[in-house]
Amino acid sequence: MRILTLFAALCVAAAPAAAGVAVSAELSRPQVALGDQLTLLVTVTGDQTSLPSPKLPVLDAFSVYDSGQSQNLNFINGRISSSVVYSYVLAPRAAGKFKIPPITADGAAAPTAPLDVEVVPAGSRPAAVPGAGAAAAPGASAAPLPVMETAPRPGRSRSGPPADVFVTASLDRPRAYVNQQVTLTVRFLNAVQLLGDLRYDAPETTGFLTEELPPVRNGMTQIEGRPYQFSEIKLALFPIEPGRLTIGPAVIHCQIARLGGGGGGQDFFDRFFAMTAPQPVTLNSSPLTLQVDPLPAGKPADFTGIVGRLAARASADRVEVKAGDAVTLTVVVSGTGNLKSLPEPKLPDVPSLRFFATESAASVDKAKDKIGGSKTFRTVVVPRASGAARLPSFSFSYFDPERKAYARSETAPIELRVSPGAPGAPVSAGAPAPSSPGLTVIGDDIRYLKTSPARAPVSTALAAFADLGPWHALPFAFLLAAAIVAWRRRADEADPRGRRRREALARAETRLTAAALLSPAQAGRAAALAGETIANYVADQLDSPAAGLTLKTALERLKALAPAPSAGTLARLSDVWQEAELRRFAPGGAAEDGARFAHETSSLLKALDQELRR
Amino acid sequence: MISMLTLAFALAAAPSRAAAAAPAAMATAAAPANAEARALYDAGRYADAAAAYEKLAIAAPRDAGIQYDLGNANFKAGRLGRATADFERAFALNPRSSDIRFNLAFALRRSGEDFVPPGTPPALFWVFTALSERELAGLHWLAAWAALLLAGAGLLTTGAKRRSLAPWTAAAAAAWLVFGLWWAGMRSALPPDRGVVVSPSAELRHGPGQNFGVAFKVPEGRRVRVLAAAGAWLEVGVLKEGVRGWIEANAIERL
Repeated sequence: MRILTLFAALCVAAAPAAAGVAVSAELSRPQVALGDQLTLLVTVTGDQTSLPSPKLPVLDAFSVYDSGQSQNLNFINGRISSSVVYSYVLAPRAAGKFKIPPITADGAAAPTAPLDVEVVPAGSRPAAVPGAGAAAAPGASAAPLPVMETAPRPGRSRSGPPADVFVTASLDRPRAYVNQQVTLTVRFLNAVQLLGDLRYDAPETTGFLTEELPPVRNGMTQIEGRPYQFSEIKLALFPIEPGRLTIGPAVIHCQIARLGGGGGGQDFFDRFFAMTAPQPVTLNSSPLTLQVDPLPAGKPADFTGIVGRLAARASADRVEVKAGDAVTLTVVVSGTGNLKSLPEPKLPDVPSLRFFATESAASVDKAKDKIGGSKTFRTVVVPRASGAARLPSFSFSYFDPERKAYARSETAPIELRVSPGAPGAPVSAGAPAPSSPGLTVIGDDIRYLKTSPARAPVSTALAAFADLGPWHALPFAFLLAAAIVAWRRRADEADPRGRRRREALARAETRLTAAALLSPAQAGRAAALAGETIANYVADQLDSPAAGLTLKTALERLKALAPAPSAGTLARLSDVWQEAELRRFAPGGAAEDGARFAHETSSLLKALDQELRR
Repeated sequence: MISMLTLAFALAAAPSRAAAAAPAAMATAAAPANAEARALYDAGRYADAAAAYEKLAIAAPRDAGIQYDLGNANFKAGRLGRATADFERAFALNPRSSDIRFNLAFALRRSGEDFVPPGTPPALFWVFTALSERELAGLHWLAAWAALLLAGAGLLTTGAKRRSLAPWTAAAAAAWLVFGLWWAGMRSALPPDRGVVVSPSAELRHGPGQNFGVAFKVPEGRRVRVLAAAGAWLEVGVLKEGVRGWIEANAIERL
């Protein structure tokens, strides 16, 4: 079931492609003279961008030359319509009435109708083309053939009269610029009857781009009074590199009927009896050399190598358009030179316009043996927004070999008046229509000014904090101080005796200060406090209990310390100790005596502490 | 000890408060000048607007909005290099502003540079540049203060109090490490000795003088790093291409 469904879907999908292709053909004129040429235009149309090529039938009565093609794209109501016109130059080979068979193409519903054409003998005036003006049809040659020439031609044999058959080759100029057209003319002349087929080997043209210049021209000429038939082939050459380039010999293989004997008798019997079998002959033209000059300095930036002369013009199918609708911009570059190699112009970057891919078509014109014609570039432009819009100019640089200078041809800009499109209208011209409404980018630019002042207090505070400079040393100092304190604390905990000795004086000072502040009524208590302070200080220094410590014991043990206090200090200690005991048990002194005694005791203890710390 | 810490914090906070108050005061005073500059900008007189914003930027060099507006005016006046330098300064001051990021990226694109370095995930780049260099410095020092003070307090205390301080100290130390590395990375990625080419199609020469040959041409708006100076010439390295050469000092605007 799924396979059937898929098959049906494929059939439905394929049907429009087959049904949408049509082919038609027309001739530039119904009658042509022998030696002249006409143009066959075959048009393939369809509703797809990739159209098949026409299948041209075999045309025995004509030499057929491809003359280029041009494509045209139309967008109507969002649908694509495409057509390709193939141009062929037909050069008749014989006089008479001929029929061009139907022409078809892959997928075409029906072939073209047969076309009738009449080839009249050379020199006859073909019927006028209805509606044709003075201008010749594209690719038509104006030279009627055959011609009767009287000027002698090279090709004589090394000595004596000119050869019966010979071939010559010549260039229209001895030197040229790179990419400038040079016309090679190969002429085959014969004064005798040719037998059998003739085969032509074109000369080798390495280093050139070549383009045929049909048709083969036939005629009569005289060389030193002797009539010759000639056939002439022309070839357009475009040198692709500077230097001295060589063009090889043109070679013709043919068979001639050569007369026997000395050739003196030319009557019927002489010819009858002297005739021999057909003799094959190979003829070579002389090789040619061409001096190719490089293009001069000072090439414009947009120069693409075209040597010739160009004229560019641009047109739009409409200048009043709605936003989102398509405008077909056509740029036609015409002139002389190898226009096939002209690249597409660079599409401009215009924010208000959207450019789609460019289609190009070349039409080659070989009138008067000069390669030229036109190249057409078509692109679809979609205005993105309403208002005035300008399709900018396109410029094409080239080198003019006649003026020996670079030149430029520019198109004029085209002003568009774009009105607002319908709300929600889809963008046409093959633009990818969004499945849901979305933004359309018109142009990009920087964002607008700051409309409100930036406030970032945290950011400002952080930046200010970072700028404190030397103040950042504070936490390091704090950590250092804390570490010192902690170390001291730990050291004290590890040495309690030493800590007791180090702190003995501070404790004694605290007590003596308290004793000095006592009132006179408490003189006995102050003396007791001073006495306890002395005993406690000495006990701290000796790391022994203060209770039960006598003056005698204290003096003995102090003397045993190292370093020991001086004898004078010990004597002072003994005096103060005894006075403290005396005051404790015999109070009644003045208040200033209590303070003085506390001060004296403090002085003694400081002196003692200093001597013990030495 | 506590009194010393209080004093330290008071001293530390004083400049911050002053710094925070200063822009607000300046913004109030500069409001008419700002309105005038904006009017010039709206009228399409971009060169005049740039001159007006230039005066405001000199008065308030730490105002990211003024730098941004100055960049806009210079960009519209066709001075891509100066605009890029202004946007760079604005970005350094306020990297989280989407407008500043957009306009800086826009200007850099015009000079052939990418805002996000090639090969760097945009999200990672956004996170890396979410904080300004000054903000990172401030956070780094704030974390350092916290870690050091907490560590000191831990040394001075014992028992349960000391144990309760331990995780806070560790967190502060970790933050100090992270912000320190981030700050160092930022200074490495966006070195302070940078500049922007402000001359159209400036020439980099092989030496400090016109007698040395031209090695490269650098488009306007391209960011460079100033490597050395010799008289009126600077040796610069072009950040994107990694080439170096000498250029006239007036062709470079230092950031």
